[in-house]
Amino acid sequence: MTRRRALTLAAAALAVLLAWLVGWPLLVTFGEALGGPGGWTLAHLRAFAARPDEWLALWRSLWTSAASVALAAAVGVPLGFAFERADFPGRRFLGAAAALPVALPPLVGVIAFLFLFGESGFATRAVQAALGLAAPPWRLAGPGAILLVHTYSFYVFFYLFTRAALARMDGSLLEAAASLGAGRLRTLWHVTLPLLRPALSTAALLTFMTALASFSAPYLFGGSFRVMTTQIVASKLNGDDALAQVETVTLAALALLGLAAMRRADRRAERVTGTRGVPPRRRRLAGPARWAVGGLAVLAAAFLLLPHAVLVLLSFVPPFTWTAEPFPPVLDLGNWRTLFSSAERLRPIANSLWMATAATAAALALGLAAALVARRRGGRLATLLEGLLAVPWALPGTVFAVALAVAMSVNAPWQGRFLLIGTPLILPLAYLVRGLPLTGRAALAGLRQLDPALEEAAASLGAGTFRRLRRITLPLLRPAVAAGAALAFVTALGDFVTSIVLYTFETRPIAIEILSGLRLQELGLAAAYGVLLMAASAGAFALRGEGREL
Amino acid sequence: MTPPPFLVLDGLSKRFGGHTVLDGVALAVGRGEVLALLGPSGSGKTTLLRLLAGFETPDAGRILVDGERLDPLPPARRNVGMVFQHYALFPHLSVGENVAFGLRLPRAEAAARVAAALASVDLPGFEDRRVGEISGGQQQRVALARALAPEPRLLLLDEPLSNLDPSLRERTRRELRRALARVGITTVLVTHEQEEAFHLGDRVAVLGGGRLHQVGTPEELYERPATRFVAGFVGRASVLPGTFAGAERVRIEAGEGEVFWVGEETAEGLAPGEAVELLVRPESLELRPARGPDALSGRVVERRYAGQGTYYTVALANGWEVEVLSGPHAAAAGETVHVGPRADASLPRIFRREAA
Repeated sequence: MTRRRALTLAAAALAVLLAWLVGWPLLVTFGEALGGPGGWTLAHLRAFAARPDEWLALWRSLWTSAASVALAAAVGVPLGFAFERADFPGRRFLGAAAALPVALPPLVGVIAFLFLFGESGFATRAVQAALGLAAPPWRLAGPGAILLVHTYSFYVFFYLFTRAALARMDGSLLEAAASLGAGRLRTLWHVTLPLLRPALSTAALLTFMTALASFSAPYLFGGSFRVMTTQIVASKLNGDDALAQVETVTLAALALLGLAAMRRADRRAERVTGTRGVPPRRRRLAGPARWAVGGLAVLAAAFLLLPHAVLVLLSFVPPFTWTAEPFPPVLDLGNWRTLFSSAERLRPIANSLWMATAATAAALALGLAAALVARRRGGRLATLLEGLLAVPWALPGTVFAVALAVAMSVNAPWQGRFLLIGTPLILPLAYLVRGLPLTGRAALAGLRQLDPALEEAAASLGAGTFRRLRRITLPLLRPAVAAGAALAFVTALGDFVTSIVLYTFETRPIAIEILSGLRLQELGLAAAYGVLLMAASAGAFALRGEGREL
Repeated sequence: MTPPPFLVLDGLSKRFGGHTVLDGVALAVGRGEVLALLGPSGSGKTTLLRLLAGFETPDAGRILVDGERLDPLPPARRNVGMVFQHYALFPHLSVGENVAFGLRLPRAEAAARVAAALASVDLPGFEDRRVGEISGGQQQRVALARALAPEPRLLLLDEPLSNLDPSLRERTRRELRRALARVGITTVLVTHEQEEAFHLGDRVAVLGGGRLHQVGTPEELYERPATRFVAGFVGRASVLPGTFAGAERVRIEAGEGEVFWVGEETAEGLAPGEAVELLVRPESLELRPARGPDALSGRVVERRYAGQGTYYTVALANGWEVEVLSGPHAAAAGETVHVGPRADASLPRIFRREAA
């Protein structure tokens, strides 16, 4: 009984702390959006609703997100089928490479595209030179550019979910369909696709919400084509706080709707995919089909790896040496030397490193504690804790950035508000909130997979609560939690969306430095920073892969 | 003679939600005795084992070991060894580390104890193997060695053989029986298989619907089942409804006049005219060539050859079915036969008929 009471206390304390971190800034923002000098007012809301460009931004957010889902599915699903159902040379390596964009910080993907397809990008110049054109054949701007980047970044969701669902599928179902006389198309249409539906709808929602939250691509390519996230930041930077608050609340409401839909889809998916049996067999392709599919997959993988390669190459191009040539004439280590020899250039790296480390450590401790307590305590408090861990995952970074900026702009400790804006603490705090779902959900998932009999066995062998935690639970959770922490670290290290709202010059992180590199035409330096983030992401992704094997 | 009780379960009850899983189970186990808890799934046998291990707390009742209360202690302080159904070997630890987990000894001593424990289950030198790279049978023995290494007062086995291939099961069962006899530890094991319970248990406790129906040696359970549930669950038996006619006689009306069979009363104070059921083992019946005063007539609907004997399912005139054990050529399917009690076999058991 006392153990239960201690757990309840711990759960309540954690719930209060998480609510303060995750929920309170949003509530304060909501309150301010409805508040005025004379008490409650709908004036801000009315002003918002009266402006046509707000409605336009909302509409653009929705339709680009929907289009992103369709495009990402069109690329990701066939790719998932090809890699899971067919066997061809290089399948394993290319299959892993195709999942790379999942851990790439959005800003890095965007600048890689800029260097590849932008006005003076490699591909653009190559086509221009080949066709002898006077002007670049296209401009990387507007909704088309945004959708291109979204497709490239988000097809991974469809790709991974399709592959996972196909791998899980009971092969005897396909054999049963065949024995009942169904051909390949009929089986695909009546058996495989219906079974994939939960996975695909989850991927679709995930893509939709990520697209809704996307900031880097619309910010760099959108120009006057504003979506909600860029609209919010523009209002905030223009000093129109009230408008920014209403916009933030609107976007948050949209995202929470998405989260609710997602949870329902999740539950449905759990119900459907409970079968086990023979793993489906991979079709060994022979003759021309083998080479055709193999060749296509190689091409696709090359296309996917091209932005990464371009980024690396560009980091070796000295400033202002590459003008009209299709390929840079000079390559040297100058950018890298500058980056590592000047204290001012190293500053953003040091900033990002310490802020990401501190935020990840805190997110790890909090997420792990909340998951452990929730799992053991059960009941409504556990549901609350799990919900609080999931909220920042569903809400766009822009929403949190603005909410933190609003809530932490005054010193009112009795209201749970502290003056943190402009201090070095605000960014780590923002990163912590964004990292919580990654560490917390990883810990929850790991705990769910843990056989309760293992802990019982340890208890029956005389191990008390802490020895069980130290010797059994934590070591077994390590792969899952390490993967979650690595993702949280990389997300914080490359964060752009919250940083642009909350940074100060002293605490400027890598992403902000990349942006200023672009503005100052120091493309090589920006690329070098990007390569660093890319390398960190690849490392985290390798860890993530290990965690999944558990 | 039963030895003085070492483990005593005193009126144990457990409810989950509104559902009573265990209802006042009382039971005594002697020192060094192996008790098999036998019951169908949902009978409460696993819950009983988990109460002993301390993973669940009873809603009522006490557990005593050697005169000491066990139920207030947390699992970690009970000194009760357990082998889990799926073994629950720690996947991140080696075989040796698994066995050493429950030992709080200096390193050298622990190593010696681990070596001895592994040797005692025929796995000498397996210390550095990974748990994932040994076979299912070996995992089972490692789990046994791990549970026994701390020298617990009591050993619990949860369906110890259910996770093994049928081909391995019988051999492992013999090995397990020998190991338990050698260690001489008081053991409670849970199983839903009668053969396993009969082979491993010195005594067998039959659980059904959360109640303890009977505890006894395999012979006692088979020859003199105390309740209709035990009679039906342990071994094969046919049920014939009838009316008590006094003096251990039951009148059976199987559609063609009255037939009286003699049985053994199990319920106290049966009054003539009371509705009863007669439980008859297939080997207590015989097929007869001609109809006698105590024979029921019917048609063979199924013939099942089982090596040492052949089972004949006979449908009586009113549709009831009885099973008879006889020789392989006693009758053919479809043939009309006559069924009567064997003179040299144990008597059918008479149970009071429960209202449906």
